[in-house]
Amino acid sequence: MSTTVKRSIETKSLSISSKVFVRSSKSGNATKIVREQYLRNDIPCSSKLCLICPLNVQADVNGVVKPFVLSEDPNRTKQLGSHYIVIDANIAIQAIDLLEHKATFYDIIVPQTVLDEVRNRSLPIYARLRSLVKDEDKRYYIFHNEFRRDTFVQRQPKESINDRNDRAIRRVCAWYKSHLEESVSNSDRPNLKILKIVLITNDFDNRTKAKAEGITALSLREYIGSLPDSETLLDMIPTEDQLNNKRKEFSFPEHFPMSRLMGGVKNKTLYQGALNTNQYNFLEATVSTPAYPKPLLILGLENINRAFNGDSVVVELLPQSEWKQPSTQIVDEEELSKNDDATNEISSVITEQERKILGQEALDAQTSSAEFKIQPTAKVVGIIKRSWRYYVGHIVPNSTTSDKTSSTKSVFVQLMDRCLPRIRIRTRQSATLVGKRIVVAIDSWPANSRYPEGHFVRALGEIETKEAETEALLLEHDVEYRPFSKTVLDCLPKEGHDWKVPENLDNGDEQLKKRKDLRDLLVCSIDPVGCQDIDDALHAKMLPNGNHQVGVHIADVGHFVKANTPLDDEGASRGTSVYLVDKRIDMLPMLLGTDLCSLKPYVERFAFSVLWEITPEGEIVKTDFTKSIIRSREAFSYEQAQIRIDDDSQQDELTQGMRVLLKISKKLKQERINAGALNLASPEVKVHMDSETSDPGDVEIKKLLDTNSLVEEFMLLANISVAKKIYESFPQTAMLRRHGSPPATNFEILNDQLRVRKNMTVSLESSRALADSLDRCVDVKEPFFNTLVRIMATRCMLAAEYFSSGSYAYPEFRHYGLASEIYTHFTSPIRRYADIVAHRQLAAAIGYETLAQSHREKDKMERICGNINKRHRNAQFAGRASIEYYVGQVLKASESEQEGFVIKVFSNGIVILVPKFGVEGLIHIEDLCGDPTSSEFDESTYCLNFTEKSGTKRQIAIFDKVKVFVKSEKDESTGRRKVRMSLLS
Amino acid sequence: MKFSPAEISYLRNSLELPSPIRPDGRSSQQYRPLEATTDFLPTANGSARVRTSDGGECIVGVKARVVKAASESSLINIDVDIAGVRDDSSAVVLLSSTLQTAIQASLPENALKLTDVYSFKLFIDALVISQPSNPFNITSLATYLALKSTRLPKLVSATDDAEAAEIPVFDDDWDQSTFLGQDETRQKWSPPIFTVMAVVGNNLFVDPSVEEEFVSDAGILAGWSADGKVIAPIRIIDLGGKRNGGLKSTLIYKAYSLLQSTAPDVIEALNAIGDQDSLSIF
Repeated sequence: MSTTVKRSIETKSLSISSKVFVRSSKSGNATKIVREQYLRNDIPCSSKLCLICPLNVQADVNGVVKPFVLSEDPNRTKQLGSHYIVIDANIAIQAIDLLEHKATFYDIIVPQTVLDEVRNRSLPIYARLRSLVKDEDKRYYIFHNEFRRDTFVQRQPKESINDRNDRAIRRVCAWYKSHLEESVSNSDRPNLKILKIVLITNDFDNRTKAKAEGITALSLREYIGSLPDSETLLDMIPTEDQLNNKRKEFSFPEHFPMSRLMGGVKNKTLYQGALNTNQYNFLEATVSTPAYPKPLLILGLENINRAFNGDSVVVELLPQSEWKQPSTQIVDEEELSKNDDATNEISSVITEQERKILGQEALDAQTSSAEFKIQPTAKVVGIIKRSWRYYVGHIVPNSTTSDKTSSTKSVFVQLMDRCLPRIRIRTRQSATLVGKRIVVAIDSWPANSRYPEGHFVRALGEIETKEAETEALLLEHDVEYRPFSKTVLDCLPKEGHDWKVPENLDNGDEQLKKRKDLRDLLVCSIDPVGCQDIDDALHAKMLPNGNHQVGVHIADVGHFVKANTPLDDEGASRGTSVYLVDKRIDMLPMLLGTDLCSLKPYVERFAFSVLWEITPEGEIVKTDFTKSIIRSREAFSYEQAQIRIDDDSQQDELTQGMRVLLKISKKLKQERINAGALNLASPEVKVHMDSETSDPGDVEIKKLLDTNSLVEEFMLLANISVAKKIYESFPQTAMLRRHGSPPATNFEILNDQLRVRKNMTVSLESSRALADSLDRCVDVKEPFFNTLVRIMATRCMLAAEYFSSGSYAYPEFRHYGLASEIYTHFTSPIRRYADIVAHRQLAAAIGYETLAQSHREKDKMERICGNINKRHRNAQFAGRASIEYYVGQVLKASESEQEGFVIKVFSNGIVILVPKFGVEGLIHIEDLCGDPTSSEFDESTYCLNFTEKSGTKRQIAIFDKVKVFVKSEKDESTGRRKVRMSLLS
Repeated sequence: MKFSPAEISYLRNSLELPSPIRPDGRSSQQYRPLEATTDFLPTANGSARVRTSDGGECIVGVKARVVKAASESSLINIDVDIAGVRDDSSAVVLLSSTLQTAIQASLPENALKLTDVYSFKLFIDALVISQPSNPFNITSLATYLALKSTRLPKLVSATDDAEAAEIPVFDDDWDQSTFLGQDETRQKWSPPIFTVMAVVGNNLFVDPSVEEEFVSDAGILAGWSADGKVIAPIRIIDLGGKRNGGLKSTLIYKAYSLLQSTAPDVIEALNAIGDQDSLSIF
């Protein structure tokens, strides 16, 4: 059955138009599409000056008339007077940073034609344009010109769609002009100013036509130039095309047309995948494709062909004669110009048929074990999707001249991300920007330019100031760190910090009645020192039958964050809280995270509880889930809890309960390890801050106490119990977490290294076998060796990921690392969005409330999972980068001699891990010995023979323990403080 | 339809006369008035609708799809559906196979070719909504008009994809599309048409009405190609008349010459409809 909403529209104001076009599909089909369009007369101009439109405007379905947007007293410049601005799609796409700038660009009319084009070309920019329209201060108005009869234009015969759209935009300008003139002339307010309509477009042809039609049209540069203090704004103008044509420094091979790319990918002669640049070698990249078990190698600048790290690219295999081994060299960006050896010109033409054979040979080469080191190579022939975003970097000092004039100069920007090339920008402020962290955006990378072209966005501050570096690393990892918006904060409880659990539990609130009153239980929380966002609390109680009741109580974030509110959307898009050394970027506003949700001691809080009945032997008899009210008796730190448990004089009930918990947790852990759970080490480092100055003072590796594993075991148990329950209730959309078993190829190199150097192997048959074989990797002389192997093994593993249960078959749900069949995240809803979803699904599963639509639909769940996986990864990287930065700062003050281990050997250098600081450092061959040419790299045994500066011969192999002198040094070219190591004998 | 013996006798006698009198007063080579529209289905590549004065109606839609030529047995697929008649009945099978063969034979070789690999495939769907007399005439005319109005999107990607595979990409402007079979000189291709003639005694009648069919000895089906030739098949068909028996061979010659004098006029009239691109009556 269908219902029709009837609206009273005068038939006079409606007419129909239709447009016909051809759509080429990805599979190569051509479909004739016919669209009917209803044209109206009542779409307002939305100018507060207008006297006509308010009379005609129609209310929407809810009976609300949208307020008019464009100001009576808009932008004003000397040359143009008061004016409204109309922009075209290229301006929106290339200069969105300028449009967002607070200093200028108010009262903008965005024709619908432009908005549609922006949406088709770039979704992120579309989203930004949309949010600009929502921002009341900026006064952006989307004028639906395609639906207004006066401004609708029909495509003319032989007219390209771009020309038609340009004409539509010019029609909008012309209509606004005459419409406002008419409106003003009808008014009895004679002093009304006549407004100008200014079209901003960088298309010369369009401007010429506009001028011929009597429309004021300016290029972006001309318009910005007419503004007062345009200096800084001019830098933000994207590079225009004509600038590039003069340069002929370099010529990249042209990319294939899209039709060729799609055809090639379809018939499997070309391969699509994400480009991954080798972080040690800027000239080497790999592309993982579904067709091959191992990534394809791409060597050299020309073969990488303007692709960026992370771009989705299409590659073509190179002839077999050019297949190579992955390079064993370290190549930094600076060396690029002299190290451009990989220019592979193929003169022979390869037919499609030969290509297919080549493809098979490539597969053979990858799978055959005898010669696994010769790798098929490929070249990039097209880029499907750019991964371009904002980049943080700094101006290369020697790329700018010293003269202080403010003329426009081209300068290079070296990005913080070492995998990316330098960016050429044009700026007038090069003198003032040198030495600062700056944000740049990339505009294009023409085939005849060696470097991509970009423009300046803003400066973050001096290099190495804490603020600039923190903001830089947040930007680099795409972490949203702006304060929460007003609409988000409006979703918080009105009472603010005074919110309390209702005293009267029988106040007629049905939901409240469903909560179990667990305030009499002796609950406590155990967390790191100084933890404010307490997600979880525990209790254990003796039952009359001799079993224990054990409870895990998790903050009931779902009570405050309801689905489909702005607060929920914000949480979903942030995905996780991000922990930096000195700063925490919250997923949820402070009020919730550190107060209302946080299970603080001595106050009553809402919780979501998992209650088990466990026998003294650690066997689970019964599992219950309930929303509850609890009162935590104490908030311990891990150390405090440990001391209390170990102190025999403490015999109160709370401590007894904790001892029971500890006892059971040890049994649970043993069971888990027996099942094959892995203990994978990574050097976790904690930076001590000086409390007064908040300067980093010292670095230490985190200690693990029994109480850490106590909490961990019960959290794992809660997560597994919840996972089972929500999967049972929502087999298609349960929010789960999986960890795939690592493919054997990942371990190939590590295994070879272990075999050659230590005569050991790592078995991959099962997680149990892996765990056992890792246990066997022990060097009696070197206690750290086992941890070292674990660290290296961790790097061969796949990352765990969130998924919706409908996306995989049950056997693939397995969490390899935890050796659990099914797993989810439930225990940290304050800092992870996945847990909030799990909470809602569990609440629905126990009949507490109904589940939001977005958590019941498979594709929506997949979208949520995709985002939180990405956010989770970024948060980890940001956290690590923060630690790395602070370790650098600590080392600045204290240089010392440390023990290190060789974890990678190249033909021209070695990489050393210093466990004490958890940092890695690279030592170049030049710094190892006096004469680099005398060094010999034996690839089969992973060792490097060289003569030290002192003249003694020395051999260094992988896994070797070495003494290094560690200091921190500022790298002048990247502007980044790096750990600098030098080998001691 | 039932006729009384007196009616049958009158019809038969007046049609057998050396200068026959048809019940509706037409000359023996005259079609009944018909009304036709082309391009009336907006989302099809080509379409036509034909209605005759006795209430017959046929609509034809032509859709083009991109296929790999090597994997298709035929680039033309015609599907005829006659209301109230089974899909596997001889009339439907004869109609679709005759049209398919003739159209395929007359279509210029490269009319559907896009690239070395890809080609258009035409799906012609004819639906005879109602037809008191034999459906061959009306379906043939409607198909002719639909094919004449068929336009194919313009290819903008490369045509030599034998060496390196390419997915075809088309100009998004429908106005850039070309008529089916249109060559460089913008000369349009014309599909063949088929005519049914009723045999009564020594006389032949083009486009027989129900009454004429009822008293006929048999029907003769013959095709006419746009370049002015009578084309195969020329065959006897059953028009539902009660009389059986052989036909004189002279009647075939007669049919041949009758077609030669009628068909060019029919084609001309149909083309006029197509060119006007709108409703017409003749």
